[in-house]
Amino acid sequence: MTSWQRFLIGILTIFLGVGGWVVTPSSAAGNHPLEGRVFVVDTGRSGEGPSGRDVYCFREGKFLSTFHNTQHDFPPGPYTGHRVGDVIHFAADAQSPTRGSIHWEGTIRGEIINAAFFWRDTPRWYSWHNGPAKYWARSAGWGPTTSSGPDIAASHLLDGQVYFVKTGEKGNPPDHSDYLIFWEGRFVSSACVELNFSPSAYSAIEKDGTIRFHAEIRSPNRGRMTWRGTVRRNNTEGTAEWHYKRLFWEVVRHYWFRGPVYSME
Amino acid sequence: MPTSTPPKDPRGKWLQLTIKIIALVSVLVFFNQIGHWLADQVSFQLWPRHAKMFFPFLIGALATYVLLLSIPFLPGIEMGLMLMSVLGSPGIILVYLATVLALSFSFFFGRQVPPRIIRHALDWFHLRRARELVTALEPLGPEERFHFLVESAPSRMIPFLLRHRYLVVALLLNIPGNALIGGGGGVGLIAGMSRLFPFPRYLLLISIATIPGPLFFLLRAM
Repeated sequence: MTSWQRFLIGILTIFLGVGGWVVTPSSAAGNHPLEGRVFVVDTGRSGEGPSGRDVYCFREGKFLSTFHNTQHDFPPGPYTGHRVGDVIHFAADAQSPTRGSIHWEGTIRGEIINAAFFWRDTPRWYSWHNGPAKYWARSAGWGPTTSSGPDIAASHLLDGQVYFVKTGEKGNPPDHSDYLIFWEGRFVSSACVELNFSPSAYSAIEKDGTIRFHAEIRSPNRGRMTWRGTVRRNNTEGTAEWHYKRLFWEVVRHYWFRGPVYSME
Repeated sequence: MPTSTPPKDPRGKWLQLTIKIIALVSVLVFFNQIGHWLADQVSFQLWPRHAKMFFPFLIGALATYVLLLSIPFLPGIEMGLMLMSVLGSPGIILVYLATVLALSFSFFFGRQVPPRIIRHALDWFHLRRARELVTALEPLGPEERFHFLVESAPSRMIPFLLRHRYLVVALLLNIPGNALIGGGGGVGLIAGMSRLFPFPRYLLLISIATIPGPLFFLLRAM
């Protein structure tokens, strides 16, 4: 092999290596740059202002919109993504047995997600518009990373965990389902995010195989919620307390929650 | 030529009365079911998603409670219990105030019912002696009424109850079987119709007599 040939092979190797880093197509690989990531997003109709909040999770090769899952029965769907420089382009699809299909596509730069999704609802005889409706989704911010309550020292013990829980008022049967998500030292309740409660730092300690956690989330117009729970053998259970003060009245309600770690399968 | 009206068939009279009682009970059961349905609607789990509708709900539920309690035979108490459980400790005080208001409404309504309507109602149920009593009481003032009732009462028990009428009303408001006479609304209505209670004293009476229920829930909530 001549020195020219060695030089060409070297150039080719460098080119392929750099190219491989710049453009990394992937479909649900375990070490995909999106794997395990969680985003809180504002959403709205295309051309209109924000009308709701949602939590997007990339796990086990699938994409989950907690709002569309709990409200409209959309199960997690496969996602694909590729990196171009410091931007990750992604696409995902989900199919509901009752509410049609949704296609998401967008970009992620650092902590910021910017996406559009197209919802083709199941045609109904009374619906005059059967084309896909276009929506936007943008990062809503993660709230404080510091302690949010008097005895909450930020922890990362449960980071990456997602629990699918049933929750109800104390002494009552379950009222709804909720995703409790721990991500980068913060606690997210998907049902509360939809109501404008900001994700917040959580504290956690482990003793005898049981992790106890505590978090307090606040909303600008719906008061605060304190969550206390335990995690043991892939299951969580605990209580939540809602404090809502308005004029002379303070509403205090007590809730319970219980559920297993969430699997996208 | 002498004429005589044919004697009324006593079986027909009883049949007529039975039909009237069944009709009345059916109407009461129907409205009772509506009341229960309303109470069930109030008994929902309160979550942050309800925050914006909390105060309209509170006012609407309290207004419904006052309406249900002030009308005899409607299940106002059930609604009150639901409200106390939904609203917690501050709600217990609010429900207590609403109870006093509702019983005052039924009292005022009883005061406003013209004796003519009471006479017609008693007549409809063939209660002729009671109708005659109402007719005799109509022109009398409160004191004269009281003396008339004490003197004309057929048993010794009635004068005793009349003398202790405030205690009787207080007991009636708290005994579980008061639904038979229309519950709190029925007691208030009868008290108003009797015209034996001046309103300030009646107000004081119900303010004290309705304390035990809310007090029990307040102590339990602590």
